[in-house]
Parts: sequence; C-alpha cells; structure tokens
Amino acid sequence: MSWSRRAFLGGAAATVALPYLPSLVRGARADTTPPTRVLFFFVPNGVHQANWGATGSGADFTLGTTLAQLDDLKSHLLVVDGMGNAGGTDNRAGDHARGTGSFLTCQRPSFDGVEVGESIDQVIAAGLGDATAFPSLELGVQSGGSVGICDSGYSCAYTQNIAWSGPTTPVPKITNPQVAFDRLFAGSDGVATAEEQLRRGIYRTSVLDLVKDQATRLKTKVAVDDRARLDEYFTSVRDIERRASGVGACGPEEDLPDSYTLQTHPDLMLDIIVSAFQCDLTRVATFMIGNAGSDQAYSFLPGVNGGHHQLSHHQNMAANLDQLAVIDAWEVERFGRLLRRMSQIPEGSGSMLDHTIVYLSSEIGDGNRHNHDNLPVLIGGGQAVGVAGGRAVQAPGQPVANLYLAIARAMGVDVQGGFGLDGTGPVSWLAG
Amino acid sequence: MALAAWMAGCASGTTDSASDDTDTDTDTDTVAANRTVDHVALRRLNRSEYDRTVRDLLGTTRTPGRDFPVDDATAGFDVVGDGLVVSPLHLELYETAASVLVSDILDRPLESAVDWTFEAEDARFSSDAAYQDQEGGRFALYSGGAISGRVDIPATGPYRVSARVWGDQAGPDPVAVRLGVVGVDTEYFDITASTYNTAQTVSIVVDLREGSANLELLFDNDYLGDGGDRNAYVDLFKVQGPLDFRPEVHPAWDAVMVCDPENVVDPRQCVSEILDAFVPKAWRRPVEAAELRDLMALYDQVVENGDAPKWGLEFALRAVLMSPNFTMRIEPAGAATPTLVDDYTLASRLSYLIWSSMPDATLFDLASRGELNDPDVLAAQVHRMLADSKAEALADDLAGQWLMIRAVDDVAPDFWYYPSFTDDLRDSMKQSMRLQFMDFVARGAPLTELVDGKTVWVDDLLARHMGLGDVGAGATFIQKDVSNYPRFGWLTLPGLLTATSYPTRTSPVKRGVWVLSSLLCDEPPPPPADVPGFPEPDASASTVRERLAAHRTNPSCAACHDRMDPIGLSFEHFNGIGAWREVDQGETIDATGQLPDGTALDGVGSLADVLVDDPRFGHCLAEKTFTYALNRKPGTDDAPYIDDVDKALHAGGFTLESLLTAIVTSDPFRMQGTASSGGDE
Repeated sequence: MSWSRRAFLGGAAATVALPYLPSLVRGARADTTPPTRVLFFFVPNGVHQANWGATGSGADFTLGTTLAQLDDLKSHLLVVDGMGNAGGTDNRAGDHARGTGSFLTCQRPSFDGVEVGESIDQVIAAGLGDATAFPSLELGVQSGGSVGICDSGYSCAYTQNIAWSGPTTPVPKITNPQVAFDRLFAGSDGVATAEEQLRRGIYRTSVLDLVKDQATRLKTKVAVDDRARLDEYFTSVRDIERRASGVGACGPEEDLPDSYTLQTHPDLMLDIIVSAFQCDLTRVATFMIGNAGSDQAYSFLPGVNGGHHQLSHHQNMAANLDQLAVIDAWEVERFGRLLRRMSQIPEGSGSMLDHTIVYLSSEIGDGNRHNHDNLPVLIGGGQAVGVAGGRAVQAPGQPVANLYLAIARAMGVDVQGGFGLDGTGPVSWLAG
Repeated sequence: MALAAWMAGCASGTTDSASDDTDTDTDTDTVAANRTVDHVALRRLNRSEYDRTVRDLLGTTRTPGRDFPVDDATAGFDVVGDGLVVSPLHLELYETAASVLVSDILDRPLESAVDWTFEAEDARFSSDAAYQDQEGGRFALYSGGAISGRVDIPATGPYRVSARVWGDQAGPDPVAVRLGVVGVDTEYFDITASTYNTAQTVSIVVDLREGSANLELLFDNDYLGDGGDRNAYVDLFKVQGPLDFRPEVHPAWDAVMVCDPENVVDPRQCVSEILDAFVPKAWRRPVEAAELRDLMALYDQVVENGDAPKWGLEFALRAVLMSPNFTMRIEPAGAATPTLVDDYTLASRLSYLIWSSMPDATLFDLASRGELNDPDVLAAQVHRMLADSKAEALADDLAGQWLMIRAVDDVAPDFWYYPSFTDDLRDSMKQSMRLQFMDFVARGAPLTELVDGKTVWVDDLLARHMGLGDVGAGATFIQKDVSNYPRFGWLTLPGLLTATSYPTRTSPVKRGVWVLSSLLCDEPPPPPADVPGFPEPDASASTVRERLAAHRTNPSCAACHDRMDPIGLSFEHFNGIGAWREVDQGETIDATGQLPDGTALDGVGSLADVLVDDPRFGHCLAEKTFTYALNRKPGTDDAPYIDDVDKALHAGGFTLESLLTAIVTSDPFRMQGTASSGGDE
C-alpha cells in the first residue's frame, strides 16, 4: 500500500467521486431480470448519535447533520432508529469484539473459544445456492491486529470478521484490492489454447478431487474434535471446484489504479463490489470500513488528530465529538458515493441501486457508552425488491435480527424458526 | 516401522527406547498422578508458517502467505488453533500459491548457453520461393523468397542468429538478403561472396523469449537478365545464446527434481522418484504407498490423455501442495488416555515452535530412527535450533506479538506532535527490538534483561532519537551500553513506548496495562461501560498525571487504576515516540507513584527493580511461551505444567533456552490429550 501522508495538507475529501473502476464491464450478460443483492456495510466504534439519524417520521423527515449529505438520495433511504442486538451484551468488557461478533450473527460470542453463530449474509448466500460463482464476497480495509490482542481477551476472529459460515468458522475478508480483483476478474493466462485450457481444467478437477479425498481420509486418523477442521477443508475445496468456469469472462474494462491511499482504499474496495455485482459474480457482500474498535488515525480529515476509537470515548466533550462527527461524515460519504454509483448503473426499469439492499450499522451505538441498543441503522436502495425507501422509522427496542429476517425474505430466502438470540420474525415495516 | 507408527498414531520410539538403557529415568510415557494433558487442536499453518515452510521446502524467496487473509489471533497469538480456520478463500489462495510454486519447481535451469548449428538443407527449413532446391549441402533460392525454420529457444535473452551465405552475382547489384527472426527483428546484408569456399557469415543479435523462434533468410533482389541469373545460397544457420548467460540458481528445481522427466528414457519412473523423495518432506512424515499411487494416478491421467510428462508432474505437485497434509498441522489421534505423540508429530511441534517452519534433515533423521522423544535429545535439539538463523522466527512471531514488535508497523504518531517520526525511524525501532530479542534467542542473554537490560541495539538514527549521542554506526546496528542512561531493557525501547501511546500523547494507562498483562499476566479488566477514558490534552491545562489522579477519585475506577497508573506514570519521562523529556506542556515531568502495596516508584528504573523480583514475572514468561508452544489458551489442566516451567526457568538462569527446553520436554508438548472439552474453563 502506498500511504499518502496528508497530515499537513489537511484537505477535505474530494467531493467529486470518480469511480476507480469503470462503470462498464466487459462480458456482462444481458439478463432481462436483474438479480437482487445485499451488501452489509460495517462501520466501527458507533457514531456521534446527536448528529446521526433524522427528525420526523414516515415520509416526512429531515436528515440529521451527518446524513444531510445524502439528501439527494433521500427517496432511496430508510433511516431506522432504536434497534438493538442482544448478542453484543454481556456482563464483561469487550463490547467491540462482542458487538462485531454478533453484528450479523445476533449471537453472543464465546469468550473462551471461537464460537458465535452463522451470520445472516451467509444464511442468505446458502439460501441462494449456486446461483453465482461466489456465494458471497467479504471485503474490508484493515487487515487486522498484528500483535494478537484485539479486545479484552476475546479472539481477534470477532474483531476482524463479520461473516460467519458456521458458529466456529469466520469467513475471512480480503483487504488487498489486487487480491480481490484477481480473484474475481482475472482470466486465464492467455498463452494456452482453448483446447489446452479445457484439458487443464479437467486435470485441475482431478487434483481437487484428490485433495477432497485426502481430507476425508485424514478424518479417520485425527481426533474426533479435529474432524470439523477437515470438513471445513473439504467444503472449501468443493466451493472452489465449482468455480472452475465462469470467472474471468466478465470484469472491469480497466485494471486497478497503480496505488491507493488510506483515503481511497474504501472506495476502491466498494468499486470492486459494484463490478462483482455487475458481473453477477455474487449477490451477497459484506464490507468492513474498519475492524472492531478501530483506532485508525484519520489525519487526512480536517481537524482530526486522534485515533478513531480514542475519539469515540468522547466523554461528551465537544472537542472529541466534533472530530468523531467528521469521521462519521467521511464514512457516510463513502456510503453515499457507493449508492450514487449504483444508481447510475441502469438495470431493468431502474438502476442497480433499486435491486440492491445496502445495510449500514456499527458494533455499538455510542462509543462512550458501548451500548448495544439504539444502534445506528441505515438502509439504502432495494426499492425494486421490497424496500419502501424515503422514510424514517422508529423501531425502539426491536432486534436487528428481525430486520435481517426481513432482508433475507426480500432476497428470497425465508428463514424458519427465528434468527440469533432475539430474532423472532421479519419486521413488518421494511416494505412500508 | 516409522510409517506404521505415524499411521497408528502412537509413539514410534518409546517401545524401543523403554528397553534401551540410554533412556532417562524421568522419561515416562504416562502422565503424572493428578494431572492430565489437554488436546492440541488440529490447525492450518498461519501466514508466517506457510511462507517459512515453502522457503525451507523449496528454497524460494516467494511469500505467498502475505496475500492470505490475516490470521485471527486468539489468546494473544496467531498460532492458537481455535482461530485458524479454513475458508474457500484460503483454498483459492493455496491453489494460486501452489500453481506459482510448482512453476518454479518445473522451471528447468539452463546449464549453459546454446551454440547450435543447423544445416540449411535439413527438413527444419522450407521456403516460399517459386524456384528453390534443398540439395547438395545448401539451400538454393533461384527466385525471390524466404527460407524459414523454427528452432527452440531455451531461455529468454539476447541471441546471435547467423547464416553462411553466398550467391551467383549478376546484374548491377550484389546479392542482398535479409536475416532475422520473424516478428522480432531483421537486417539487410549485401553478399559479395560468389562461391561456397568464400561464403560470408552474416549475423544479427535479437532478443528472444523462451519458447520457439522462426528464423528467416529472405532473398528479395532476384535478377534474371542480360547480366545473368542472380541466385542466393545458404549453407547453414547458427543460433548462439543467451549471450548474457550466467549459470542460474534454481533452488526449487534443485530441491525437487532428482531427475528430469523430459530427459530420461522412462519419465514415469522419474516422476515416481521425484514424488517418493519430495512428498514425505512436504507432508513432514512418511507417506503411504497408496498416497503415492493416488498422485501417480494424476500423472497417468495427464500422460494417457496425450499431454507431456511435465504436465503430469505439474498436477501431481499441485495436489501435494494443496493437500491438507501440507497446509495443515495434522496430528494423528492419540489413544483413549494421553499418549506420547509419534516422532514426526513431535519434530513438527518442535520446528514450528522454534523456526515457525518445517523440520530439517536432522529432525527428520531423528524421527525416522525413533530417537526424538527423549528429554536429552529434545534438549540438545532446542540448543541446536536456537543457534540456527531460522530461530529469528521467535523474534518475528513470538516476540512479534507478545512483545509488540509487529505493532510498530501499525503505529501512526501524529505529524504535528511528533515531526521527527519517520518511516526510517519506524524501521530502526523495529530492527532494534528484533536484535534485542535475538540476544535471548541466539546469545543466551537472561530474560530478566527484558526489564533491567543495560544494552540496546541502535543505529545512528535511533541513537540520536534516544538521546544516546553520536554512536558512529551509520545505518548499521551496534550494541550500545546504556548503563549511564535511564534506559531499562525492553521497557524503554522506543518501539514499545510508541506502540503503547496514542498518536498525540503518551498513555500511562496503556503502558501500565501492557506491563501488567504482558510481563505479569495480570491484566486488569477494561473500564466499566459508563466510565470511559479521559479527554484530550487541549481540553485543559492539566497534565495527564493530574487528570488520571482525578479519575482515581472515582472508587469504581480506583480499583484498577491504582494498579495501572503508578506503573504507567513511571514511564512519563518518555514521550509518545519513546524519546526522553524533562517537561510536558510546560510542567516538569513527575514520574513518581505508589503501588497498591505501598512500594514507591520514581521512574522506570525503580519499576524494573520491582518487576525483576516479582514472582509473577517469571511465571508470566512461562505462561506466554507455553501458550505459544502448545497453540492453545492454557486451561486449568495446564497450570501445574506451567508452574514446572517457571521453576525450570529460575533454575536455568532465566535463559530462553531453559524456558523452551522445559516446555519441550514437558508432558503436554510431548503428548497428545484426548479431548479439548473443559480446557478453557
């Protein structure tokens, strides 16, 4: 990564947001029915709550200071107030780890081991089955804690991941744009002939089949407790096996820019998600703009000179809250830029945004209180797939798990028997 | 025998050595009364281990692991099994890595430059000229046209392409030919020679890529008229190169290709020999005949399909490197009660502990003879392995996490507050920490020097930053005596002090918590939800000390802050990037304080005195290293063993070697437990 040290320039983030990847992709199929997608967008450390949200209710509402920049997108927004996540609560420290481990699982993370629950994005991905080459896509910005200590003794698995394919298996995210780009869009090497490639594809399948056999046979040799790891291995091989074809046929018309900065990294990753949606390589994505409790220093933002987590412990002091609001606004700017990009990509009778539900929230509500109720919840898009936008919704005390159930239903995945600790059934208000 | 032992999952050497009088009396294969041994979970290699393993297996300098997703550390270390799950993303990246590494293996080294001569009349060459013949030891062009032929180019580089040419001269001009490589470069030559005996050699130097090249000689001024018949003849072509050839180092080929399937009579036999030799190294244990047969079946499929033996080997090797046998630390199940692990498993436990990598030939050799699971042998191996440069993995991975070396990569001091902080200074801070830890690894310095050491490794930049004056080391690191400076071991290394600060100021709380949790294993609980940190310095004129004091007047804060603050405040002479200071915001630094037991502190020196005598210090070293070695969060079953290690550490003069030896010879390290249930409770 090429870090641009912009401390002494102090310039605000650019307001003209040109995409890093072209809006056109090569090789996209001209489907008549646009697919429905969902993107879960995680921001760390909660928000400056007084500046967040909206006043008014229903269709008659005014966006608060931080969200005012989204006014042009108002008809695509659902500003939700008052929801909570029981999985984040517990009688011990570690709210960032717990709030993030429960973010999409709505289960309470185990302190002693690594165990929480399957996350809603993975439930949806499993429900959609083999519709796309990648059942889901996990991207982020910060790779992770380098020294092994993340939050109050909890495993870093909770602070670095939000997608969980099973209770003990976090789905790791990619933070290197080139790795993500190559994984999604890289084609064949171009040297081999088509016929050679076909034969090599057959041999590759034989290799993967053998690797699966090895995992299966090793299960009989290892301890009972260890067999699940080999099952993971087996299913992971199976997942990549069915991806043998289809990847590389569609992708952005240009390669990635040569370098990126702390400032442009999130947009670049989000552009990759948009391109993947355009190519219908996946319909389910998660994005972490920072890891749980991130103490990222945003020195390129005007007036911000502390770490994000440090500032989030604002003690109701204006000096801290003001800086926090600047960071919040910058994060929302990334969200808005994403929504605008999607709105400019025609699909069906509308745009990609109409067919994509973008959910934004955080692991806690207020950084000072570490609370897991009254979470900031913002939904963008999805107007063609059952989200009635242009509203502010008060949902005090309602669990986000029920909102997830409604999102899953909009995605065509009906989850039976509730979800997480407190999800009982889909909220009624998503569709208006 | 060794193979059977691995597959059966029992200790290959113990039954033999039990009847062997070299066996030591302490070497038992059962757990002591009232104790049990917990399970070491199956896990994959982490990123560091993957890269070091392919380095040692293939001699490669590639680091595919850097592209893998970050490992989820648990209990402070990214070796703890709970966090090391496998995902489809991992398998995709394993596949990419295997493909690249196998290409390296199959990249045949060129032993010498080529110097080939091709007779122009041989079948390789043909022509599009209307009138030509290919007889009589030359190729004749009676009308305009080109002779061309394809030759193999063994490696990319510059080549000299030559041709021996003469002609029947007629008309106003001499015979003119163009020589070169189609699609690359050609050049015109006038040919004045008119007989075979006086033929001219013309040549051109062209840059060619590995693969094949189409040589061409064009005759394009054919003439037939009053002056006679102009014809061109070519006798031979030469290809020489690459002209910049130097013998290359191909470690991956050398490591694997015991024969070359493209240059033997029986390629299948050769591939079989390659796999026989390579797979046990890659999988770190003896390999069953059936496992090798499966790999050969991949080879057979490719070759029977009409593809080259090299392809067959390529796919077999990919399967080897994508196998869970390679990417994971497979340990066969023990019996119903804790049992000694087999020697190959033990060899891997040992090598991944000290080198973060695969066993070397010595360890494999001991394992194959069933001699490794013996305390004396293990102690000797620890001694040998620490002296090997590969033991720097302990600095990068163990100390990298526990002692915060890796954290230096992530610090972001604010430019306005710390303008002297540069990426060069960051690098120097980090290198200083690595070298300091290597004093424990390779030079046997006692670990008490973590708190009271009086030498530091510095280059000029870091020495100036630390106020140590001009040491005249330039960009190299020298060991500097700091007896006359208020610097104390690891505690005052600038990298640590920066990593335990905020971007804009010091954090006595972070520093206090770090000492308590990392050196005493006595981490205070984080603050209750309603009592967060404290405001920024610009909020008031008071110092950090004064604001912390105000904080401690709250009884719910005091319980923990009474422990953390005096420790953290004793560091206040060191600013947020570890430089010495006498004043902070106009106030003279006060580094005094009082520990809960009444001990007065004044500066880090007094803290060092307290720490070195604190019984929790040695015990914490034992606990941290045990966690790292056993890849699990220690549970109650582990407690008595950690106590033993602590005792051995004291008896062994606090050396890292005594610490590691005590762990490596302990039952939990040499045995596999049955179940993980309850291990963490």
